[in-house]
Amino acid sequence: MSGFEAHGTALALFGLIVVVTLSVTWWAGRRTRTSEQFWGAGRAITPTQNGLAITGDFVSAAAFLGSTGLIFLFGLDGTIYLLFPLAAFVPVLLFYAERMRNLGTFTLNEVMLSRFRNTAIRRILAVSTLVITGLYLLAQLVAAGALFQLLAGVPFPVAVVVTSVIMLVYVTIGGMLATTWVQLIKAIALLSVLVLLIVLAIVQIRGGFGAWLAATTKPIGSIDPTHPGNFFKNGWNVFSTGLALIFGVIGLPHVMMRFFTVPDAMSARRSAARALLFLAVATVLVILIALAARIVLSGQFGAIAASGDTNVVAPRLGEALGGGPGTVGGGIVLGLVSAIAFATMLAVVAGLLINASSAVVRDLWPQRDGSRGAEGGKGDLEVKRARIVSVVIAVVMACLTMLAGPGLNVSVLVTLALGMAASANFPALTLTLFWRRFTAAGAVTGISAGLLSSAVLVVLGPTLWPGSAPSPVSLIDPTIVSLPLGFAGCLAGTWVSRRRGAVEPDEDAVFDAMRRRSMLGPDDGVNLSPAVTGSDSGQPPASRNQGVG
Amino acid sequence: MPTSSSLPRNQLPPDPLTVLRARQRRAVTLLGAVFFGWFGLFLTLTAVAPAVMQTRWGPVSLGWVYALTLIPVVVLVTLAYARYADRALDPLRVQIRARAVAR
Repeated sequence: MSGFEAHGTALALFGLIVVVTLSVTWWAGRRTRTSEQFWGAGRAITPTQNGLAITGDFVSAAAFLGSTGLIFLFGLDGTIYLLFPLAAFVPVLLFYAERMRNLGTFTLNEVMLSRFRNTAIRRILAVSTLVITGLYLLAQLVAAGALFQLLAGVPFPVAVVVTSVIMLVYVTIGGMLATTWVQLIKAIALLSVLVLLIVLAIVQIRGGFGAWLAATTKPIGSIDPTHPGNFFKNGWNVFSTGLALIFGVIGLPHVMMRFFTVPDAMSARRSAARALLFLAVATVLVILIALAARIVLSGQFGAIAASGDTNVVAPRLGEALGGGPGTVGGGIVLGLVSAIAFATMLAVVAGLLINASSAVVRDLWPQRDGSRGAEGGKGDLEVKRARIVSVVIAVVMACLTMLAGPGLNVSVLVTLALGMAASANFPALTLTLFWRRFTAAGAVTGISAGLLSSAVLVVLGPTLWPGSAPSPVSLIDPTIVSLPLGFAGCLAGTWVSRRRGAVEPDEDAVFDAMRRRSMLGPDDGVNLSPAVTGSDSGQPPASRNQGVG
Repeated sequence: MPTSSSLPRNQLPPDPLTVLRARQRRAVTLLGAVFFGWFGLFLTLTAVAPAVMQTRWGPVSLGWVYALTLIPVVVLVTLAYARYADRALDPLRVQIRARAVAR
């Protein structure tokens, strides 16, 4: 590497940005008192803020670092990893955001539990949340470690320890309000850095528009970027990855959780729409950056392809555009790009940790009867437990990250997590919302089938299989097999439980009430449920109704 | 239909909730079909007919042009639904809730 001195500027700048974001976390943390604030950011986030925060959550290391590297190396195949996550928010907008906000409280789990009051579902959902967020966390930590390694020149394990400690500070101090603010600031900073890189590239790249166009078609080495199949060796992989990316987000607890930080369903829909527009802009910018990398870094192509260091293509591009390795300008741009990418990951990881700890504290931690209240002293206890659980999860994940090593592409890893979410959570969630005959037993078997099959395929698949021998399973993403299995599990469980007659007597009424609420919003104050129309019509509804008007 | 019983009986013949559901279903089906169709075709061509995606048009290739059209398709579908929901769905919701309050 080019030595410690050259990266001194970068490291200093990096430290500065980390300190600034930590201060924001601390400031927000002082305002976090109740558990509603910790989990749901007090429900006072506006749609534009929330849209930006979702963008921040999603244009994480995966989109910025991982996709840049994949498009740089593989051309057209890499764009799937960038364009399909953007697309994922369309079904969210059309089918899920409003309904889920209308039904849910804090977590994805509670949406399902609003139809099925069932302990087994609560447990299995908590397990799937833990596994999915764990894998997602692993991806972020790998990228964070690789970045810090590049900047500070320390060994990968040291980089992982440092980054994990900083992440923990974020979560234990701040909670969801802090992460929302950090996400928001970071989304703006990230978009600015993307623009900066592109401006620098436009100024420096000779040949104008033609050179950019040529970057989409000009082969480097033996790889033709117009040819599908550079990364996906066969067609099944293309479908499998596309499915994972489009349907994974719907089952992704930490992103869907963002829709609960806004006051009502209309804000949730507007958040999704704003997020989509911000994401579209970010996507265009990342494609341009990847193309710039193909032009500027074409000399390093062989080295990057050989080492598999695809996560640091964007920072290296920054360094080259700033003046090259060893120059002050190069150091400044490298530091800026790395620091923003790092802040990105920290914020994402904070959200992930909150989600994983929420699953454990709310759904797996042994509870006595009626201790699930969100108000008062109980809420404080929940927050305290959440912090303990966060520490435990962070330590476990840091150890796993060291085992995984820096060479895995963060986009590919994140997509594995998305594939699991698409297989385990997505089928059960969808059938909960839309299928009248669905039963609690169906949900449990479906989630288990999707989770187990995808976990097995991921572990045996080429990404995580250790050593150089070919993996037992050649499918990169498990989704094309495990998503249908998830649905099949739901159907089979439903069929069996119906044959046994193990269904609630009032299931039709519950489903109808759920459908009404998912359309119209919670029936607080205004009584929308036909079943209880006669009971409490005397409530003063005027103040409650304002959020809807 | 359990929907009509909770609402005042002297309303216009089409139950607002039924209208709301019908409108939403229509919008979502149309936009969903456009979206899944366009993205599905991209995946299918990439997986099944790589040679087609490699077709060159002067300085560009079909695959890259197609990939870039995915972004405006997403934006258009988003804007279309957002506008439609603001204008045709939300007012109905507000109306239904207001009636529920009024009774």
